[in-house]
Amino acid sequence: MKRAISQIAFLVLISIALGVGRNLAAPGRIPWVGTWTHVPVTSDTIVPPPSAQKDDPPFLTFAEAQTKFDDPEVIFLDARDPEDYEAGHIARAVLLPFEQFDTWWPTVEEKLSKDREIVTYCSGADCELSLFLARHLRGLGYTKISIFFGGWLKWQNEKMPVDSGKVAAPGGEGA
Amino acid sequence: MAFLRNPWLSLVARLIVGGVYVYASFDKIIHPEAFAKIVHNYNILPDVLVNIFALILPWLELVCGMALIIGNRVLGAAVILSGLTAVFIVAVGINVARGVNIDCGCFSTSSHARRLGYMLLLQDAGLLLLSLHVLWRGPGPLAVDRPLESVPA
Repeated sequence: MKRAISQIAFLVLISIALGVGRNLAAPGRIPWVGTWTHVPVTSDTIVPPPSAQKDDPPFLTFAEAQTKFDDPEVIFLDARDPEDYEAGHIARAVLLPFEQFDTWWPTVEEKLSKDREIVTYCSGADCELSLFLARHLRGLGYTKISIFFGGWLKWQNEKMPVDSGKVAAPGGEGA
Repeated sequence: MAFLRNPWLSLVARLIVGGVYVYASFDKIIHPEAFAKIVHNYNILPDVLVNIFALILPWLELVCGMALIIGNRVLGAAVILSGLTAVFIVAVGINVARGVNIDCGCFSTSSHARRLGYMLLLQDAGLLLLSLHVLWRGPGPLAVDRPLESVPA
């Protein structure tokens, strides 16, 4: 028992020394105490992610997203992975995983037109894929883009319409 | 169930647990900021502890993983890694139950490397069993620690 405690103390102290030393010496230092913003998922405040820029596409509140959803002309794009999309997504939303953009883009492009209104979303709260996807699409010339940053989490919490189920892989890939 | 007492099984368990934790530590040590963000997303630790935890945890994984692999201070390392694995199971379990979809931060800090889910819980449970085995049977052969030193009498 005594030996276990002294071994644990030794291993823990070495690790603390290495962790502290690394943060003092090496590049990529982080503050000892970070400043974290909590994105409230129950209220309708929008807290954009730290990486948000002034000229980014607008962020929607839940109420605004709801209004967009009620308009069948607006297309919701799900920026998450296919597995997440299959497990559940905003009803009628179309899958366009940001991390596999080139693979999926051909299947989505035909559904879009430059003047169609687009809303991107991802998991919500701490995920930034919706922002990255919105920026990327705007770079391709789509102008009517907004971001529902509350995302899937907020949508579920509000008991809004959802879909789930398998999605066909693009371009005959996989089979 | 005699094979459970086979000393070579202790060696295998020790090498697997040690290897997994050493491997798991690299990316987090290289990218403390990304890992801190993942720790924060778990939404369990108070904000003031997030960065300190994110700085020290990967080193603890590396140091204890190495200790298991070379077979030095196996008892202490096995206690720590069993404890850590149990903590991970609880933390992942809480967030699976919350239904949040966050990065696991298990082996990589890149976003969308791996998400929380039941498979992960199952793997963690396997890892916990292996480290408990090391705790129970000691280091086995090819260790720096002498076998008798670590197997409780």
